[in-house]
Amino acid sequence: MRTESIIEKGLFICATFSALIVFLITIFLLKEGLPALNLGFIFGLKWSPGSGQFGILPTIIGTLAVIAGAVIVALVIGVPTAIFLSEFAPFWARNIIKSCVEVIVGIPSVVIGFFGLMLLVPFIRDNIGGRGESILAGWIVLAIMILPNLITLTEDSLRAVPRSYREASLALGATRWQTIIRVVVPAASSGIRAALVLGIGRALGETMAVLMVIGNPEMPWIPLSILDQVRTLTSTIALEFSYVEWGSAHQHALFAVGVVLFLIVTGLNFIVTFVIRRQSSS
Amino acid sequence: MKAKRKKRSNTLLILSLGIIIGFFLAGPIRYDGIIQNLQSQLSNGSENTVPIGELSIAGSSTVLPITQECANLFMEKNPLTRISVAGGGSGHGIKSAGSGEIDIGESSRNIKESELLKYPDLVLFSLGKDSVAVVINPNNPLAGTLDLTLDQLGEVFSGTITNWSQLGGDDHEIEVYTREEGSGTREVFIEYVLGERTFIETASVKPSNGEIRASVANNLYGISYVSLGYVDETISSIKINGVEATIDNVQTGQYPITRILWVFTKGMPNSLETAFIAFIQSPEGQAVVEELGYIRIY
Repeated sequence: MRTESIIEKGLFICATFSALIVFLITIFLLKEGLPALNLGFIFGLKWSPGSGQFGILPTIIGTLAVIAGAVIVALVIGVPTAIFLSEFAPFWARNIIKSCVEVIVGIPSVVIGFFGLMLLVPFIRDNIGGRGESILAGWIVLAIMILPNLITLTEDSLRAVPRSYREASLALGATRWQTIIRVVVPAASSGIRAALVLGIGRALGETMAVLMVIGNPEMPWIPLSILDQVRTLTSTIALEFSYVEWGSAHQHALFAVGVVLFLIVTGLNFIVTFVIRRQSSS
Repeated sequence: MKAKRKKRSNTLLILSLGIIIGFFLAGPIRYDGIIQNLQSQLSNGSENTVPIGELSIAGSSTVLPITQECANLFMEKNPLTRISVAGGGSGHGIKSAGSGEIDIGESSRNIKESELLKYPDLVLFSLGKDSVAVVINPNNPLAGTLDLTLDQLGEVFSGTITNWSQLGGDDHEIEVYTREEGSGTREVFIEYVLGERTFIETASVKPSNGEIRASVANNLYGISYVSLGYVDETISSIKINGVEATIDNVQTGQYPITRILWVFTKGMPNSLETAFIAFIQSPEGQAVVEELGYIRIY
């Protein structure tokens, strides 16, 4: 009985510990960031720490553009891959493809960024146009990093759809394709959405690889083409933080960038959770 | 039940005994090596100067190759030392050394007045001299022949001159790369070249000399500036006022951009810090400086 209660307390301490960390980080972030956070900051168009101008609207739009595109690219490639793996692939093909996909997870993001910088950026510059360092390059690099989890989770949720659903659909005269599109994928949709949320989270937080391929212009502007260079919230922090003078307006501004990032992540999570709940209850 | 428990505790006992004995067996062997080394150094009569301990160094990515290589040589000679070397930029080096987060900071520019006011007890040591070379892609038709004045360079980097054809090259946009705020190389470049002008808005910001080199080496129409020590065959440096960016021309003062490379400690350096800085300033350390493409001053 006694050991039981000790174990219970130990588990409780561990659980509170991680909750406490989130709490402390949030407080710290807000304390340092709030002084700089105002409408002029969020809707300002000029970011020039040297002359005391801190506006991050172009950076916010750049971040959203990079992430939205990357998630769409990953979905377009990832979901069909998962459907193939769970519904059509022969055993040997599934083994090979799955292990390849899983290897991608193990590649450090700097290495993927380096691949982007040395191969992808020159390729875009020579064959598509612009400077190469662009939103498009960010899409591809990020999509590579989101894909493995997306494929694995989507495939798992497709496989979790009961056999009886498929059999019932086929028995009603539906073709295999109709069964997959009308029955299996909708039944697995909550799992696919969860995979999507994780992908968005990863994309928002990812720094190094993206930083290396999106150009980070000296003075970011609102991008009008996918070949434009952008800054993301994370790349701005990573580029400038090591230099920043403690206590300066610049430091508070960078923390405020962190707060904005935090709000975007929480907001997205909230929206997606809400959508999933509504979907599953209806 | 009881017997089983006893058996298990026996195994545990044997296991832990084994581990302890293992430690004792392995321990003295490793220890002997270090002590012998220490003794041999002591018998050389240098008992007060045997460097022991750990050093952390951070700052300019320009100075980094020098301190990195010197740290390796120094640790080979003094196995009781552990030196960790990191980058982060000159501004970062000054800030972290001044606040005592690291032992030795490195900077590729002079310390600003505002920084000296904030960290008044920094003690500075020079290691060598360096210059900043303006570099373009070696396959650019202008490579090897381009010769600009400081003012023309200012116009290129601030965006008044935006096309290579304006300099006699291909009809293509000039794609500028620059370093991040806080980089010593950036500040020296601003001081000598840009003056009051600001960098063109589209300039791509890269956080190290190495990334600048990789970007220009990969972009036919790129232009940027790096520490002289980073110039190699993958990029091509241009002439300024007719003078090539070489060590000789910097030493004679013909090449217009020079700077001193610094390391510094908070307060007077302790014995280990002194030993390491003295090593970089010694003939052996200065040979490293020269080998890496910088200019020795001792």
